[in-house]
Amino acid sequence: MLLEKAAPRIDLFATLTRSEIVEVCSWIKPLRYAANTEIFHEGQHSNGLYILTSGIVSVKKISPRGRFSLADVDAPNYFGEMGLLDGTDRCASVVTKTEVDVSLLPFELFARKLHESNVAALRIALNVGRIVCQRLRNTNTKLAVKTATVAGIRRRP
Amino acid sequence: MLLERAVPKIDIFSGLTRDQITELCGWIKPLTYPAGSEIFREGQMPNGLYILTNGVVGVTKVSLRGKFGLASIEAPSYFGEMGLLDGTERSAGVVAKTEIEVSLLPFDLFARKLQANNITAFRIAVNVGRIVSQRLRDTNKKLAVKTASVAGIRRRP
Repeated sequence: MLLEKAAPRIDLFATLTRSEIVEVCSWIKPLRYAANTEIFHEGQHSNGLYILTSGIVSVKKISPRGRFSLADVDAPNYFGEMGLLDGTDRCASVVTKTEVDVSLLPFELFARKLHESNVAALRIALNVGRIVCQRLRNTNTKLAVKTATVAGIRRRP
Repeated sequence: MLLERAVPKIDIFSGLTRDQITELCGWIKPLTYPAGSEIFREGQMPNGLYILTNGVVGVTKVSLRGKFGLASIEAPSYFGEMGLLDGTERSAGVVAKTEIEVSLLPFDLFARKLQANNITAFRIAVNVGRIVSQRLRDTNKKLAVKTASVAGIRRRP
């Protein structure tokens, strides 16, 4: 799928006008990866946001008991969005499950566009912020449940 | 403390120019609450971001075992920032611990400014997104520890 066709179906690009989407498409670098390729590694410095236009990737995390799969992401979708805002290290790894087509929105270019108050970049950053807020609310709820579970189990005789 | 003096000390307003701070100060409504007042309640729809210019507030959450304090916030600081981005219900309540002075940045006004591509509003939104991203990373780590802890406790004879 072409990025121009995938973008309007991805919440990350909500409220962007058609011309803003065309503009964003000029910032990106299309890449193709074979199945079972690692796109980035947990702990690596963030190089940008990946827009997945075709294929499936798997998000993996290392735990004290080995590497486990967190989720699968199907096109049209995206991953690596948190690094786009805060530029910190990757908190999970991403490995392709099939051959994939991705479009990389580079972090440095995006940061420059934000600095220049580019409206398309600001709209994307706002959308990432909204998505992350929703995710934090969900994670807080899960954390509260786990905390109550730990307390509950410990109280048992 | 005056809002104009408090704003440059608060991370949510970092990167704003002097003119943008003046613009922001024109959007807000100063309010005073006596100690013990409830500023908002968990589950309420968000009415905006509160900039705390004087005093101390407590963040509270209702659990199965009653209401408990999550954290205290001292001026100069802010609270209610997540609702400003995603417009979702308050995930915690806030109570004044001392007499406080706050400046309310109303949600509706802020949403209108974003829609109009106002750069000051965008900058604040991007800062909120960054702060929430960092918080999500921290919360994910805490959740991983709790999950491992639940698994560990359950495995014990």
